[in-house]
Amino acid sequence: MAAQTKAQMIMLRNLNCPVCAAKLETAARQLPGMKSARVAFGSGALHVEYDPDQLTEERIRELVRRTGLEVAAVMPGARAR
Amino acid sequence: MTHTPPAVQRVRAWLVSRRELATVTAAGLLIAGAWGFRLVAGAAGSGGAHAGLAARQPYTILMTAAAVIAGIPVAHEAFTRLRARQFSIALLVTIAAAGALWIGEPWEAGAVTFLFVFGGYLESMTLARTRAALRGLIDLAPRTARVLRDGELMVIPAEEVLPGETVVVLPGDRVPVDGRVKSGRAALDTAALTGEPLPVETGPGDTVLGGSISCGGHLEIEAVRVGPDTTFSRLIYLVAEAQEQKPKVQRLLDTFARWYTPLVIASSGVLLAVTRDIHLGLTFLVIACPGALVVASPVAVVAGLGHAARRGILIKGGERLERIARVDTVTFDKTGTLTRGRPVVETVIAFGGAEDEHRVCVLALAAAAEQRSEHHLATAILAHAREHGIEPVPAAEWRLEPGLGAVARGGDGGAAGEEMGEILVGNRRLLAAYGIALSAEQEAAIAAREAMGETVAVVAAGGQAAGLIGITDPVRPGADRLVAALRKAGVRHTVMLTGDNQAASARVAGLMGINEVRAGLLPAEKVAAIRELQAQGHVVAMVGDGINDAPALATADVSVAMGASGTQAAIEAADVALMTDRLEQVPYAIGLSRRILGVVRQNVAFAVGVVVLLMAGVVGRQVHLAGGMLVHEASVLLVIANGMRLLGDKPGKGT
Repeated sequence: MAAQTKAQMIMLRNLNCPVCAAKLETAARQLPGMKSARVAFGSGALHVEYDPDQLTEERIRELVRRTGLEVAAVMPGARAR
Repeated sequence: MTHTPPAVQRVRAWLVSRRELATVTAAGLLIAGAWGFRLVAGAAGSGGAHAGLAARQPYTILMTAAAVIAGIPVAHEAFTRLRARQFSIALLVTIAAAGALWIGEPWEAGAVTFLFVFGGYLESMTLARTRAALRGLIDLAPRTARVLRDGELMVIPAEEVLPGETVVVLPGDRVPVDGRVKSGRAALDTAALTGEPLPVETGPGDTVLGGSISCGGHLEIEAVRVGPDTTFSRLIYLVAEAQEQKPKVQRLLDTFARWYTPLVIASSGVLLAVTRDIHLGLTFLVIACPGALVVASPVAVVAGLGHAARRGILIKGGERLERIARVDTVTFDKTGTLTRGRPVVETVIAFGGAEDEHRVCVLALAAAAEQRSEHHLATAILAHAREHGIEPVPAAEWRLEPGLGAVARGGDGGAAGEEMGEILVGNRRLLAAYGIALSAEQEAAIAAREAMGETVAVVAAGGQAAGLIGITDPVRPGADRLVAALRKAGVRHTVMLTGDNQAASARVAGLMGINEVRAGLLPAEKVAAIRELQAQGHVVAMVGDGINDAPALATADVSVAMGASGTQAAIEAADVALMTDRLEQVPYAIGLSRRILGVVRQNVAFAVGVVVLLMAGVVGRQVHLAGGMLVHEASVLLVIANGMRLLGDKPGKGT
């Protein structure tokens, strides 16, 4: 596992339907360089792990906007245990 | 770091966020308009059938429009879920509404779809409310840091600080990392982390937590934990995680919804086939929507946990509620949990006289003898002396008698020291070793303090006992009410597990009314004690704070970590983390868990009861679509209101 991974927790606004959550999750997983993406509906957060050489935070934000959602805040993600 | 979206995006986002509200409002107005027309026409139209017919047209049009406006998002949801191979409640509603329109009952179609979108709107409002707690925490997270790099002060994103770097905190800044103060002083507001309302004075050597806000002063901090490793970040992850976990009851309902929908569709199909009454079949379909049942549990759990979090109690996930609610025995660590873990001087008695000056003299002697000692009792004596404005006289000669106390010889020409000769501070055995006898009266005074659970240091000078100093580790505020509160929360048995000695432990236990004391325990013996209680059939909670409690915490059925003073390891492993060191949070957390589960049970029972009654009523042709829907949605609102009750939960309430 030499390739580095960046983990982020992206807080979403307007995440009102579980269907939108599933859509965003699927779309995020298809981004090149994305290692894992999970939408937590209860807390309204998108948890991502990606290779920062291939993917930028800006592209993920772009995807969120295209899904009709809004980024409320970005936190560093919990380190994988 | 934070990127502001352009205005256009904002407007779009606003529309998206209000789409639900807009749909509900539009459909509601149309329905109201339709009823308005009918009422006006009813009043004016007693003149004949013709007028009635004219009024019927706008009514039908408006009602159909309402059904379509509210129905489109419902149908959309049903369709997307169906594509994901999920039978949803939306599917039931869509079929029911389409069927109603088809048989020319626009009012039923409008009512069904309107109530469904209205319920959805309420549900997302509840959801937003619970997310607000987490969002509020994240808003407090530090974003940027002022870092000294190559002698230059630069501002960088908080998570890019490296451990070991020096961070500068100015007034108004949020501390960006967990670290140690290198230089400077400041008052830090740690309310977000600990709930402590007053700013904490911080100086060199002190540990500071990221997320605290500087109220004034200047600090240079050496970064220790940064980014995702800070206490604050972990706190956020814990809250986020807690919101994803569902209690058993709720998971059960999720699977329930999955087979319920196809079952209902099939039953209404059978009903239709048997009775050939399309109206009856549709009514059955609509009434069977288990709206109240589906929100019964989440509303209560989310409201309850959110409420607890705001009070500084983190219950890590709904599935722990069931265990917490069954707790009947609570075990406590003593030092640092029930007590502050910092000994203080409780009494100073001078054998020479009862005036203040005599006591000051005893204290001055003790301080002179103890000033170089690092024993924790010495620390308490010195702190107490300083509080009374006594600066210890430097001793000429000083030695420690291990297990006995300290001995010092009079200071270098200092008036007090010269006169006093040899000063002793220690236990009885120290005095005996130096051939100093105690009178019966003095013995009685010492015994009396010891009976109070104080550790007594006897002070002697010039070959005579001068006085005594009683030292205790004070219990935390609120400890005296703890046992009573626990009993009220349904805990019958309280046990103290401590490594401390019997006398001191018994004093604290007696003060608090704790049932059982097990003193002098090693960490492994604490584990054994908990196992023993479990073997007796008790559900045991352990409250502790330190690394030495970690094994016991892991063994207990429910672990509670005192967060503000506790170690990271303890907080992470615990089922319940208290962000403040207030003991009354323990019974409150147990009581609240019981109340949450109680509300869940009430809600589930109520929701099932209503649906069963309604379905029976439909089959028995006693309940019609519109009325049934009204009862149905009223039950949803009742269930939500019942759950939201937990948001106003107050401590000290019985179960």
